[in-house]
Amino acid sequence: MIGMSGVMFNQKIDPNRPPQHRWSGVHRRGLLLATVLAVMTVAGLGTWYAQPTARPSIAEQTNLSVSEGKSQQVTAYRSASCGCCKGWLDHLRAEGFSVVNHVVENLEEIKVSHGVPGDLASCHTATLAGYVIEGHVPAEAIHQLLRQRPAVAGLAVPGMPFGSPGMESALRSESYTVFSFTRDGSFTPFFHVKA
Amino acid sequence: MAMDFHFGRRSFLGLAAGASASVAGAALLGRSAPMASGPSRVRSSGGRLEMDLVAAETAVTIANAPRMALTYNGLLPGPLLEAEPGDAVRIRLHNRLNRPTNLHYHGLHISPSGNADNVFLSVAPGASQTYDFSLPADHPAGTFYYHPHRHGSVADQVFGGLGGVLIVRGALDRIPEVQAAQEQVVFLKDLPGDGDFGSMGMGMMLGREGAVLTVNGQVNPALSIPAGGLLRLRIVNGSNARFWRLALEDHPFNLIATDGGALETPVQLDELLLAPGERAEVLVRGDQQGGRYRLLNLPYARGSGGMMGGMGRSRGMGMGMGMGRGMGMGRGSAQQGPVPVATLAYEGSVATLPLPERLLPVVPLPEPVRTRRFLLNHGMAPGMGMVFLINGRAYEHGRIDTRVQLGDTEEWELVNDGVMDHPFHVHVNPFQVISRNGTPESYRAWKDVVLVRAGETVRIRTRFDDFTGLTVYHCHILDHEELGMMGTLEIAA
Repeated sequence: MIGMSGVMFNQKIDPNRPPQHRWSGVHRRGLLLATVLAVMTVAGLGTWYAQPTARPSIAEQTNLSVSEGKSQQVTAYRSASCGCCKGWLDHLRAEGFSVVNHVVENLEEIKVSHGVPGDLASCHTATLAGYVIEGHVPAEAIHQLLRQRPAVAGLAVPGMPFGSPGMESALRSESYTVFSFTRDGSFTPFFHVKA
Repeated sequence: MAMDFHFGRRSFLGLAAGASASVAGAALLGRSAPMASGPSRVRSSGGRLEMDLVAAETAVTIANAPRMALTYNGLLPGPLLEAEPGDAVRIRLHNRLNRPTNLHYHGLHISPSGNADNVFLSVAPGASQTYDFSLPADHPAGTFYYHPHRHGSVADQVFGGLGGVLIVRGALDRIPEVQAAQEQVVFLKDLPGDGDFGSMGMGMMLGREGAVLTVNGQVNPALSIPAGGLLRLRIVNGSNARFWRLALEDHPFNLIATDGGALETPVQLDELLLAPGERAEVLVRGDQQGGRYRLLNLPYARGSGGMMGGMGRSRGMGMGMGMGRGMGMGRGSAQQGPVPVATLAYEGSVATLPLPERLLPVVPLPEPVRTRRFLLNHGMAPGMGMVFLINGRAYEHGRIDTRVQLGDTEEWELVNDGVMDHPFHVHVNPFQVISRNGTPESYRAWKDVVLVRAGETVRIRTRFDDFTGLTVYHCHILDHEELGMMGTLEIAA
């Protein structure tokens, strides 16, 4: 599987990073991207759907307590035939989370009501232990969130990076960043995954 | 950056017999100070164009700042090549990259086999490949485009900077008004910003766009037009995925040529949309009262209607995908609106030149002997995961997807039932667009890339002339090509 690194970004040390307020705010236009991404995953998929291959859970690999995951319930919202959304939920189940799966038509409203910054939008939205989880966030980042319990609203992987859980591809994988975001809509890198 | 160029130097010395190399190309390309490891313009002479192209990662200067980019002969864009119909072309490609590469002569009507426009050739790192072909004596004049086409590395290499312009001079250039125009190449390329591109939702799925918008390898270069005169822009979209929607303040474009050469008459346009791989030639009239005018890149949503508004936002973020200062840039409102990419200034004056009334015939193709349908989309394929598809299949090397007969005229119905635009490119033979969503095209033109918008059906007509062999058709958002949206075409005798 793709190599995952731990925290690569430190929230305090980058002098070039602009103040967070410059990134803040919920953008409706950005949320439209979410709708697009959701439709993208629906379009043309039909019954095609690749089951992720079985592999050791990250909890097992990292000697985390599996019960830590098991104790957590993920409530997910996605559109009807979003194949890569289902793939992400399978990934979470394999990592010991229990999943409540809601198929909805008003995904954009759900993103707004959960305070997902438009620029971080992806094709599905979930809640877990009081946090919002947007997009193809890998379980390892969620475990880190649950260990550290930072004062953030949630985590997000914007777009649909190839190689992220649910977006596996035999052809490519991409590096991507998991962002944490706050209620005021600002966000900062939380976890980095190398291709 | 010093470059190992001993073989190139010898070759360039040897050029004199076969071609003339000129630093005047710097002026035509608008380069102020090319970091050249060779001439920036190579013209055929005595019916021959012979040269070396070294693909390497080299230092370039963009917006007064040094950075690394993938270049040909240290140049971004690569040297401007100029040939005439009937010319013999010999290009020795030297791969100094760390991944395999090759060359595609985008838009040329030449053989897809052997050492010609053979995209199945693979030039390993450190290896060289000599390309040898002749332009047909009746090859149309136009603005063409050379770039890598090695499946597996093409998108990264084009995104990283590789590409150049190849001009074929012919009948169009001999039309008096066109001949009198001042000529200017406009090579459009967005380059990755510093840092981790793709992290803000603009990954390969949508197609990577770069943060740095360049014209001829420069940020907002100065272009000039003589008062009263005509400026002929030869515009090439050399981007991986970015669509360029151009407008020039107070100056309409007079379109005189598309991908495959001249139109029958100029078509006046307020703006010009070019998908990756597309080219256009326009005449601009110097009929204003002097001053400076911005060439603008207008926002474009690569999808269907208002629903894709989010793509606009995403484009904005694409502008600043770096983790550092770039990200702040990306949030600027300017990225939601027009971005100046070059500035046109009046310089000197000439006797007032009229636009040409007639250009060249564009002969309609005969009725097709066959109609085929190509369905463009993406999806999860068993055992593959997320892929881009043509007729439900991802590209597979060695599999022939479409077999056609030399000399046949066919109509291809290109159906995009996805939610992202896909510019469809066919190698070797140009085509004419017949209709879009059933509406006949308003003028006849030769194309080799046609934009098929999300939800759109475009009918094109083509004839498989002169050359047999294997070649390809594909989405020219090169990330989508890499991810499967390509098919192999066999043209059989």
